Amino acid sequence: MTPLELLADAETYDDFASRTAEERWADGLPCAPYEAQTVARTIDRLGADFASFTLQCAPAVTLSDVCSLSLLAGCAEEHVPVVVAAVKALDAMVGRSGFDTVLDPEAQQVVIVNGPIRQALDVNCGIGAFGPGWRANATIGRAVRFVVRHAGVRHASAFGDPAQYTFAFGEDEEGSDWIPLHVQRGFSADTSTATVHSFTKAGRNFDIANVPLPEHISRMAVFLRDTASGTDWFGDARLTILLAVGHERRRLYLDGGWSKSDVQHQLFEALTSQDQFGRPLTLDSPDDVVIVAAGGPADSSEWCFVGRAGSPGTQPIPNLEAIP
Amino acid sequence: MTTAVRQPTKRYDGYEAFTAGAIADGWSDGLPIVPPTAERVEEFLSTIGKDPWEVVGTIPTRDIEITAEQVAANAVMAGCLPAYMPVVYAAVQGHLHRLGNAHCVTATLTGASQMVIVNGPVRREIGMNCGPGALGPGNRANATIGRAVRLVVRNCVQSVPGVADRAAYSTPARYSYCFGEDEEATSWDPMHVERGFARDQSVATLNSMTDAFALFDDRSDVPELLLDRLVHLCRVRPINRDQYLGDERTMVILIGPEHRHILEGAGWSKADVRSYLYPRLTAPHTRGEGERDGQGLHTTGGPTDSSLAISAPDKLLLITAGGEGRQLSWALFPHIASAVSTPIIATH
Amino acid sequence: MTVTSERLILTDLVVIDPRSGVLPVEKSVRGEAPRVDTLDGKTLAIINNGMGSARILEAALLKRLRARYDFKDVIHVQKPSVSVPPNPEDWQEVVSRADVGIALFGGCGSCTSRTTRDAIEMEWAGIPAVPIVHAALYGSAEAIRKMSKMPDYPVVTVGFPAAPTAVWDDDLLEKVLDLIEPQVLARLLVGAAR
Repeated sequence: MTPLELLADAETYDDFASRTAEERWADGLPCAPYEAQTVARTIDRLGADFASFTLQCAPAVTLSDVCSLSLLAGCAEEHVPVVVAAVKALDAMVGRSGFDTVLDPEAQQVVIVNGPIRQALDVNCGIGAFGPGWRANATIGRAVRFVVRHAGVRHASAFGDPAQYTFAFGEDEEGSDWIPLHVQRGFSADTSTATVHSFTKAGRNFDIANVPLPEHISRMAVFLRDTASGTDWFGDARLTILLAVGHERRRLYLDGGWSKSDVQHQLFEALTSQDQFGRPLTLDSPDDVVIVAAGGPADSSEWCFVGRAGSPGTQPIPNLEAIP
Repeated sequence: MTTAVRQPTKRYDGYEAFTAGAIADGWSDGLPIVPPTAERVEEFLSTIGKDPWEVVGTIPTRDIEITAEQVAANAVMAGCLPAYMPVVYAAVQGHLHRLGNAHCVTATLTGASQMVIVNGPVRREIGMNCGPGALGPGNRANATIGRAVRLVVRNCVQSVPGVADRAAYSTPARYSYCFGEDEEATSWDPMHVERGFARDQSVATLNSMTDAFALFDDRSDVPELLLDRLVHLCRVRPINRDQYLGDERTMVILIGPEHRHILEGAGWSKADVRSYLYPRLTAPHTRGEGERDGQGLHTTGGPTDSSLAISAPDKLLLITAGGEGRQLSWALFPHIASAVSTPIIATH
Repeated sequence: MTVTSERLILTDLVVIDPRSGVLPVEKSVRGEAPRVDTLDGKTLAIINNGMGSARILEAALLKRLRARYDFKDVIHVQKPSVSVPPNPEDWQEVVSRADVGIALFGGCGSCTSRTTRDAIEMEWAGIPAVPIVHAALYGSAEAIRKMSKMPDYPVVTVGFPAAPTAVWDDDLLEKVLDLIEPQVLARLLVGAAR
């Protein structure tokens, strides 16, 4: 059954709940019932540009499926364009790097939102951004995972990870002087975008030692090399590191006058050099160290997400036309 | 305040109105919630045989008393089936135990998660996943039990993200992090038996933790080599003695199936593994006088080698879960709480 | 297709509020204790959570206060963990003997709320008190004072460049003390700091 048909058939809430629980794309948590006409209306509002929506890596997945799955995940209509953009970004990554590399069942995807839509949808970029408490973050991340599984990716067969329930956040553009990710990638600041990274290992670098920046970079390189080790089940597949940097670390870099690009270059040098810290990482360029500002105050750590799925994909988020 | 007082109720026309109202009142973690109707809550309470107003635990720092009715309402909202409620209840009891240190672990900057580990027959009775993909989504019991505990943290412990919950980044593990130990796949004693429970007693262990450090090792083919690498990983971050937790401080290590095969294949029991690990994890570090650790905080241990303050071997908890295909084991770093194991008691 | 709620038989829902603390509480609202007009001859309790170098902060602050005032006694309470109450016997001593109190140091998410609560509980025991926390954790202090029904309870904050972890060098410590000493006195004493 398509997600739409499934919903139409349920007679009680409990019936709806048990049917959705059995679906291949389900995660075990409750789904939200919705009106069929909402799907049609949302597709209308996306406009003519999406009349020929198709995913290269999963041609059987329709725009109607993506909308239905988003609503089932708990999205409001207004969140659907972000899901559509994220799914297209993921599709582009698969096109570049391959289905199995990007969508390994053990892999997790994170959606990063940039631009004005973050305020419009209350996408959390600050304190608690990776976790529960914000509908936009929770449901957008979840919807992307629903689509991934609906497209045929199996559940993890080794351990799995809670990040496979949902993982989405916004870049803290307002809380940082750094150039936002989407602008680095060629979009105008007032364009809203969704960037997706597929990763197999996450790590938190908790380090409160107060050392000069060059030494800090060396210490980070040790941590990043360590985290990146043990992701090489794809052999030569290209390594990408996503680094999420909160208030305190950004303070450190800003005090030293370092832009995001400076940090990328310094880390690239440290990670690829042959030195006493062990085997250098294979990175093509500083662009393989993707940095975003996110997270709250007072915490002396940053998070890294290491993947072998190639460079994250970025797509503009379409507008929803006004409800007629 | 232990009087026969019931929670207030609210009336809604339908699901859409309920969703809007519940979100406005802050009841949800952001994902869809099941309406906690009076009928459903009564049904859940009947599975544990508790009066609605019975106090499960308190948070003295916050003047909070948490009742069975509140826990049941959150379990309904999470999407649990009634048969899961006894597991949720036991997990919450563990969280609210003195050693669960609920105020601390749910407010911390670090964003500790509340991992629920289930042992005993209940796992099969309610269809929990203990094997492939067990730490992630896909199983209704795992997902909703873990979520119910976290909704209790939000709504009853009152650790709302960005308010009392100061987790700077937080993690997706704080949506739900629950699984069963894979007792059937191994001859090893399950954790609850090692902790003194009968094999056929179902038990929920609440483990508030910060990070899961992965040991990826596809080379070591004898126990000593594998476990030496595990020791090295565990000693990267210090676990310091906390006077409040005292000798009760625990650390949980999850041995994945591929690594377990190597250990079992060599005839090693959990006790053998523990005997090898414990002295090496707790061996004094070699840091010089005045040197701080890698985090710049404590003047104990080397930059990447610190002793773990685990008072006795039986405080090193070993579990096994997951599926094959990745040669991984996990060091589950605790926050300032001990793993608390509570019997799961269902009234039929 | 008919409205989903009707079709799934989810109409006229009576739901149970899942939150703690929503029932009216009959306790009277407790407030601040009266301030003192001098610290001379008073017994000062310092409740220290052991966060970072909180012991160094305590010693340095006390040295400054002792330069101005002649305390009758100082009770040093070292808590058994950063985010828990003082041990019962230590708390008993504070409640029975202290005239004024200081609680420090709020440098993390849970210890900031607990430190603020230590000061609030001293107020409820009739002891004018002041919590010292880091500015980056102010939200944590705000959360606990609301829960304690004292939403406007003042806290003394330490800001950057001093880090929340309270691991500060001597120069920075002196600067921190320059800022907080008058605020601490202003909170404990009637009228302006002397």
